Amino acid sequence: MFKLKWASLPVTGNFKTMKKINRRKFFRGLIYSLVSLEFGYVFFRLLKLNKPASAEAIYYDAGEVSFFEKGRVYPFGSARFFLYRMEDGGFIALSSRCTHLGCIVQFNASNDRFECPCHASAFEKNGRVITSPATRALDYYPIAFKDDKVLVDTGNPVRRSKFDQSQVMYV
Amino acid sequence: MKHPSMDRAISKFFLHLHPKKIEPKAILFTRTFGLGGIAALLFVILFITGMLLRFAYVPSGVGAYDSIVRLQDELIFGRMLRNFHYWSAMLLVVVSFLHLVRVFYSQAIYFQRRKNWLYGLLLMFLVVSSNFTGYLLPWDQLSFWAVTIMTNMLSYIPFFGNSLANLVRGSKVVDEQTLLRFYNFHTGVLPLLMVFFMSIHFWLVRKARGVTIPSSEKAEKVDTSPHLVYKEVLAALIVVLVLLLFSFFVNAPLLDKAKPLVSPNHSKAPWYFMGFQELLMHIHPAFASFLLPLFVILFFIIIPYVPYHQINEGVWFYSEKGKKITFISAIFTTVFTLLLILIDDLLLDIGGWFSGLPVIFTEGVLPVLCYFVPIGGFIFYVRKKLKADRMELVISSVTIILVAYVVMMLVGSLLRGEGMQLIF
Ligand code: HEM
Ligand code: FES
Repeated sequence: MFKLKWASLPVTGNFKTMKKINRRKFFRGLIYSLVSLEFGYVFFRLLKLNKPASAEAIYYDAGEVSFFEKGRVYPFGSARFFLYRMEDGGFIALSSRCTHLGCIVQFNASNDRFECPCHASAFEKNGRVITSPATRALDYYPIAFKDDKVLVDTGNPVRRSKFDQSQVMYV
Repeated sequence: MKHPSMDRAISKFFLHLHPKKIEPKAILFTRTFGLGGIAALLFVILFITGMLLRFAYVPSGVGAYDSIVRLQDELIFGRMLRNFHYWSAMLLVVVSFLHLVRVFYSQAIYFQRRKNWLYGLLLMFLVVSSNFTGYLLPWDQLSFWAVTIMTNMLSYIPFFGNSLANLVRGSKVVDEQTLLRFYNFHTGVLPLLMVFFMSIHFWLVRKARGVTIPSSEKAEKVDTSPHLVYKEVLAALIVVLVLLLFSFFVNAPLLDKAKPLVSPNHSKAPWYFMGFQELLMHIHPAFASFLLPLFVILFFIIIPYVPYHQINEGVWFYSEKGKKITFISAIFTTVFTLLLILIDDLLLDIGGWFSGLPVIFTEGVLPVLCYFVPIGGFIFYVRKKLKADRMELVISSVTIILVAYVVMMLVGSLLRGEGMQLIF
């Protein structure tokens, strides 16, 4: 049955030029493919991030809770975040990395908003987009409070498309 | 020549690449404009100057910038060496692109040359990758932010964009890991791959019996040496001379040392990626950095495999009508693209008008329709009114794609200043 089926397939081209697969060719092909796969995989692993995906929380000590005035934005340049204390006393830590193409945004006190020098995206103090090209709100970092201190988990930025109240942390 | 042995040595060397006898029309400068040969020459120049630069360069975040400064200021001919490498690299991108344009419009990519078109596309990719990986190495404000922007463009690709960008950078942001990675690709992996694929490329040109010429122009063959060899050596000398002079007077840019915490006002990707960056300003990233490029690449790959009614190998622009269509398409695309960029920048605020709808629709589907419906109309006009056949339609489409990219690239790199606003 099986044989018949194959034999009845229309044959194109002439038989001499058709490649027959015999055992030797099959194993040769197999070995070549396995070796290439092996190399490909090793190379790929070499290039992959060698840090684990969910890094352990690295808490950055931003300072005493009472130090932060309501309604103000505090820059932490080298740690790449801004700490904003809202009017109602809640905290949100915003990544300074622009969600458009990765430049570093600056807080412009006279316009009361974050502005990106690269392509002029602007964000509200809670991270919401005011002007494109950026389409996503600024990433934020989880916050914890301990011994009256604000601790910012700078290892784990959280992507979000918009701002919502659940992202604000209260003491 | 007065030195017959020298003469013989040179000709023998060139005969590794060429057959002994060759069609007279294949030697005409206007057949190839020498572009493939110039690309090969530039590769050799880059290889040699790159080898020398490696002796001065330190591939680390701390050492890279200072080593470039030392090279420029303290080593004899150091600045010249860097300029020479830099300008050759930029020229190679331009020349490879023109070469691609040349082989397409002179109908040199069909039948037994199909495969070489594919190897050519691969080489184009390698040329651009080499240039891009080299771009980061000076580690100044220009290169640092250009690479930041470019790798972030990758992360807009749906599903795997983020992991791809991290894979390219070796990190979540551009840092020392990225520098090491780019250095190794730039001075190891990529040149090796290029030598390999260039060898195949040249071999396939010979296998197809040299460059394409129309069958009507075939004539009695002439000796390759001196007829072709003479022209090649002359062209090579001119290119080297012009490049050397240029490198003598025009310095490769070097800004301040990279400051990862301070972005400069308006950051741009390298100029050859500015078409994408411009596109990103108008269209949702899922389209601009993924769907449209994917579509264009697939289209370029299948061009030589489309079943045409007729192919006029070696005939520039296929036919008189083809020439006319190329011209009209180029003009139309230039005007239309410029107009749409202006309108989108100054008047349209689709996102604002339809703020209830999802972004992918307002920033993606709608602008794409705004662009492609008129383009479709134009192609329909070319087909109906000018009675274009399939080949002429493909020529028209390729012209539209190439011209649109070049226009966006020029607008992005030359007409945008602070805050990426248009400047006039
Ligand atoms: C490193 C880059 C490249 C080098 C060094 C190179 C070199 C060459 C050379 C020396 C030739 C002989 C004819 C001529 O001078 O035009 C040639 C022909 C050809 N190249 Fe390239 N090339 C490169 C990139 C490309 C690219 C990007 C494409 C297009 C996708 C391409 C497609 C072709 C084709 C189809 C031919 C045959 C042309 C004919 O038969 O007339 N090459 N190439
Ligand atoms: S990177 Fe911030 S606007 Fe482009």
